[in-house]
Amino acid sequence: MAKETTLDIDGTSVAVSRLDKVFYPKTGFTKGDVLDYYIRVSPFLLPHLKDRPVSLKRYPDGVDGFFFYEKNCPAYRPAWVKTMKVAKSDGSVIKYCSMNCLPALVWAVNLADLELHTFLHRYPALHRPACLAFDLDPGPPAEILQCAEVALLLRRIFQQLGLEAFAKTSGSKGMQVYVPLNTSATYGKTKEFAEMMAKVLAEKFPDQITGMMSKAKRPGRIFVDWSQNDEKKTTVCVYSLRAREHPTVSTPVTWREVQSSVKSRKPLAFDTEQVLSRVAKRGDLFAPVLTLKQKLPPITRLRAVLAEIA
Amino acid sequence: MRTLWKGAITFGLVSIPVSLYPATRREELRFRMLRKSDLSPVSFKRVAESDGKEVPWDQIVKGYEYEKGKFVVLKEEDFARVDVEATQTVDIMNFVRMDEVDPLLFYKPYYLEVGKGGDKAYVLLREAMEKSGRIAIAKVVIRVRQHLAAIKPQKEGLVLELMHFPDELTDISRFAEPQERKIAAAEMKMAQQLIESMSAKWNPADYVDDYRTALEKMIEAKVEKGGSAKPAKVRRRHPENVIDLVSVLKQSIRETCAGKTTRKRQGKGKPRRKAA
Repeated sequence: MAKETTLDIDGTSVAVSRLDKVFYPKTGFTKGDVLDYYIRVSPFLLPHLKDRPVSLKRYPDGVDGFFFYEKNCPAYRPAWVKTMKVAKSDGSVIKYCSMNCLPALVWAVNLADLELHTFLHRYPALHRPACLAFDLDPGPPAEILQCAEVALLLRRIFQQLGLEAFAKTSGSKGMQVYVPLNTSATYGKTKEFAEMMAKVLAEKFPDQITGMMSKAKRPGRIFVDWSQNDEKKTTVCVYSLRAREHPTVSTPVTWREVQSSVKSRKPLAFDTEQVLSRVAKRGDLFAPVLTLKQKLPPITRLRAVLAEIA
Repeated sequence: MRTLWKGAITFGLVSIPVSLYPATRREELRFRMLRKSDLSPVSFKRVAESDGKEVPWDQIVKGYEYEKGKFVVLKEEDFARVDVEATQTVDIMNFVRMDEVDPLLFYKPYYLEVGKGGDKAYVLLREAMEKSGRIAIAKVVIRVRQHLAAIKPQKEGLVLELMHFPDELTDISRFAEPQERKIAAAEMKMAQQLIESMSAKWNPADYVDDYRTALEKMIEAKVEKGGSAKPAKVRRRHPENVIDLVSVLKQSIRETCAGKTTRKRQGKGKPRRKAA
């Protein structure tokens, strides 16, 4: 097989190379397999990448090799890869890659960008988060099952607040819970909200939950990371592959699945094939996160609801 | 394993104690010269060209031939004087993007083992370089010679790779450039097919020194028989059949682009106008 070849995607020629290079040595999953996955999941993934500045996380030698983050879209990008300019606080400008179309996604994946990390806002509204997000990160020996329990707890609270929430696996060790807003929220408000949620829950359930980043506080607990609600932070995008031993994917799940996972003690984990068959059957479970309009309630209401939680 | 060098990596005000170990070894069979008639080993003597007399080691100095037949003598002190900066440090000068450095410049890798008390700074340097996608360019003196070197993150550790100074690279313009001629599409297709048929996964275990193995086999046979033996045949590996990933990708693109309008896109929840 040729080392470099071009793919014709909707009339755009995209060069791809070294397709047979193994990126996941444990399973033999190659760069070609990675590209194939992203192409096939793209109808569901691209809407989530639309207008989002993306940070590249590149693994030129596969998941066991060294990796690096690349915020600035490489200067050697083809003309059809558009960028989004974002000013930094020091006055300089970062040009993030825009992955509004399949050719741009394939081009980035060909640069060994295994993981896609996106912001919670959409360009150009850089200060307005489109959703509220909680990253549930287990401190060993806690694992994803304990994350699922905490996710269900968060869902219960959001139900009482009249908000719909959505869950996904991180594709790595934990889970994330997203509350779509798509209204004029600010990071100041969402962060304050998320922080109170995490801190009050950590006080109420000190054996299960912590709101502190410190690793020392984490063993056996779930870190409810509220700090992701920040215009400078990115979170792994839904349907992104992860650079783990196996080609696992950040996968949207139904609340029913979360409940039965806790009940049956079966951890939620999905690889590329499972994800592709899931989306073929059920479509994009995370689609409402992009469209559902919900207003963030006043923080006093959250406080009242949290006071009742036991 | 033997430490080649012990010292410290320095940059800014930071100093990280490290030891250097060669990361490669040269496995060459050694042969001795013998006298044909009685197989007596042959040894060398250093003799003066002027009178053929043997010169003992303590009478030998080093000279640089600056002109045919004319020498300047350099003593140990002279070399030492040049090495005023021969400190036991790897001095980082810059951090540069790895893809900017011509790979032809790297020639010899060493493992850098962290020394006592340097763990934190070592890990910090490694992680910071990984995050930034940059490698360190440094100067290091090994034995009496100053070298240019790069420090790169490698798995859990750091490696130091000796580099040629860029002016040591042969000027490419000295070589004849291929004259561009029109290549017929059919020729290109054939060449690409050939490459395709010979492509294989990179598997380090597939690449062994066949020449050395064959030589060793022949020696063994000779030792056993005491006579002559024909060289063992070198077996060549055929590339494995690889699935044509390109056609797999093309198929996926066809399906994805075709199904774009018909495939179910939405999960539950009504699509609404998007904010921002």
